[in-house]
Amino acid sequence: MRKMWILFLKDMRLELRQRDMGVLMIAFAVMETLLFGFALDSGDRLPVSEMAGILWMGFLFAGMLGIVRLFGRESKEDVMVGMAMAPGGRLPVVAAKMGVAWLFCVTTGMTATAMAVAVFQVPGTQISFAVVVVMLLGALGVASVGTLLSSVSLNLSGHEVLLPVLTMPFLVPVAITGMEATRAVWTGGRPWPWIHALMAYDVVFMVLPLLLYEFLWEV
Amino acid sequence: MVRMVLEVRGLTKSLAGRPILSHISFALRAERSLVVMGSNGAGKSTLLLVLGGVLGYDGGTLARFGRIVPPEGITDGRIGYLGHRSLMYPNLTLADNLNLYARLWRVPDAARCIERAAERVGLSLWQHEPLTRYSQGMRQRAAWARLLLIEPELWLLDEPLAGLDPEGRQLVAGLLAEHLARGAAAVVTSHRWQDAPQLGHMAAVLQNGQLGDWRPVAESTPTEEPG
Repeated sequence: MRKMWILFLKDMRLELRQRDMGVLMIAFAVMETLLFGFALDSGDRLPVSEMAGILWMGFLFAGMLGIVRLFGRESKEDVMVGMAMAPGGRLPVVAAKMGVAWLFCVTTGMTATAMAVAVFQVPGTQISFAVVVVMLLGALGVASVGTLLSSVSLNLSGHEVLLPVLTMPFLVPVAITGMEATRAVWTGGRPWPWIHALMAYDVVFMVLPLLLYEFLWEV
Repeated sequence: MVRMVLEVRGLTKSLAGRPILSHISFALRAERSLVVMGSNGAGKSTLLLVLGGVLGYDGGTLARFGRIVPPEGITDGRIGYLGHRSLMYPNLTLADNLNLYARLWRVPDAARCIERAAERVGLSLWQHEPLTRYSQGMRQRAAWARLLLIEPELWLLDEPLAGLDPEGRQLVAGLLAEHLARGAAAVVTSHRWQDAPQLGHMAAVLQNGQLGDWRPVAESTPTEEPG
């Protein structure tokens, strides 16, 4: 736990200095929402089904942008070897990365939601606690899938091009459940079956990297 | 009785289906340094990473400090590795990088130890500059500072003299001698026989994944090259 926390704080500190991951994700999500706002002429209110779709597509692409850079700082000087050799083993290294990715995804998701609400004029009564829960869970799905695939593909040539293609199919369930849950909240439907499905997917992909990391380390 | 640091028996390792190490056996006790000679691509770096627990192994047994290491590999804070790269964040300063390592290794009185480590490798004046401003030689010295800071009992050094100027080579030889005198041990790789006397007591050639016989470095001829 101590090692994980040290590594998490280190990543936060690096982000504050370099601003090349979290800031990039948030900027992408904001710009994507604004561009869709102009493109679809949000003067006339969009159907909520389309609003949810635009929000989640923007969020997922922004998430992928961050995931590609997740281990970027470590790859240049083989820093992963140094971190793994530190007392505490290899698991805290990946757990810290997952935590960092989740925090950035949550921030991006919340910003994107706020932007979507403003740009697409979602009525205030339809913004509820459930949307926040959906976004937290969606961020966890993106972070856990992304951490697993990013760590596996770290040493592959063309990692930055390959990773989004590898990640996309695994994010389809996150996208579908997240979109449907958000849509249900915004239309006054029942979001919980979708939220439960998203939770189940998150649990699988949170546990998988922690179980497989020891074996995938050498890939 | 002198403590055994490493005991390797019949160790094998493949990477991506290609055998890299085949039935490697040797033992290393405290206060000794072994030199593994081999040409580029012979598997020297892989051997060090397996010994350090960064990579697992496929067959045989590996024991460190009297304890068997599981085949999937497990790292140990008593082991320090010096590779071809610094293992440090290029955008952080040397002091920040060393501080990170000090926290991970729970180095007591970290500030003083960081200062001393930077001073010993001649980077005192540069310790508050990011590593992106360092030359290759300075990055190598920075990596040495990391090793000196955490003071591991077993050093795994991958071609530590490569690319160093005469002053740097002298520094490394001195640091290694001090390390061994403290009762620690080292496994060092090199591809130049001429370097062996500065690096260890016994040397063997790693070729086609197999390790040859160990012999005192004094017996090796300067003109003989591995591979």
